[in-house]
Amino acid sequence: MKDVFLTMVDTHQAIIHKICRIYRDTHEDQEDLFQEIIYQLWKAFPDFRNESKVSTWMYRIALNTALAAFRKNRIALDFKATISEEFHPVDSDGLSENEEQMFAAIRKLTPAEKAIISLYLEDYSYREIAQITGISENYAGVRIHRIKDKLKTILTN
Amino acid sequence: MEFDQLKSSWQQSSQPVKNKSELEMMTKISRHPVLKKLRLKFVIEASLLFIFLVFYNDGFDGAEKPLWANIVLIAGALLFIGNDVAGYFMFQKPVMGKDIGTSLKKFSRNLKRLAISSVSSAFLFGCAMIIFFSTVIDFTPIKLTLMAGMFLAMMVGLYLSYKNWSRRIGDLNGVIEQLNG
Repeated sequence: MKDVFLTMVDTHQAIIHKICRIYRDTHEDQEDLFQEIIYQLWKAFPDFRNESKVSTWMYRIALNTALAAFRKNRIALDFKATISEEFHPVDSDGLSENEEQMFAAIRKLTPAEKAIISLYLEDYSYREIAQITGISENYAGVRIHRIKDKLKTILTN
Repeated sequence: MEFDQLKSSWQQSSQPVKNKSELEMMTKISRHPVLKKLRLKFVIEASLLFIFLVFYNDGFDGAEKPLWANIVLIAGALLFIGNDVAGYFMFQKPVMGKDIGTSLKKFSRNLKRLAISSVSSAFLFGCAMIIFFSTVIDFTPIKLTLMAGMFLAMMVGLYLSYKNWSRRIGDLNGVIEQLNG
């Protein structure tokens, strides 16, 4: 059973990486959340009945874990000064500039908005988003519309 | 960056890949970051209480205290440790519903119950210690001051614990509210 589970997680691990990136700021916190999600997936695996897609099941558990997990208290540092190009890290963790910009923008949303938009970006339908999050299909549409507007504003500023 | 570009960046996002043996290690409870800390807390608290209960009979004249005071102290200690165990099991499974909203609501309810039992068990254990130390004792002004100091320290500790739990539950309820608009 463990082999099946590991193959499944291995194939879809990008989902977990993306969720960790939007819900945690530092590499250390992202690694902690990644471990928590894998553990929760393994605990939930015996109840997985193939009634939904593997990716849908993984998204549900992973987002649930990210939203329920306790965040460490950190001192908020708010610095707006522009960092000189020579000190700017190039492609941190192998991410392209676009990816960095995308994660930075999504990180500015509220935890619930991050959950909804991540599902939308993954091309889930309003119906599927509603089923995963527990909100109504109509409301999912309304929320996505608002979050898209919010993201557009963040990206243009 | 346009929204469509953002969507395509999301779908094509390349991330560092973990191999199967790394993933396999992460399925083990010993690697869980939160449970690891809870386990450490439990081991430290249980060890300190065990040492205390082993030595309190001689060190604090347990034999001279009435039986009921001894029972109250031991019961208070066991209740306190029992609560740690309950918390450990609860944090093993925060995902409990068919959808995220239902699951978070259930988790929030369980967290409230744990917060109440945690603060109550700490209060009862503190009271049990004060009762134990104050039985069969001739109170002098110094002893009374020490007792009042113990009570005050306990109340401050309980207040901080209550604030900590309130913040955690408040954060979670905030997420539930955000989800439902």
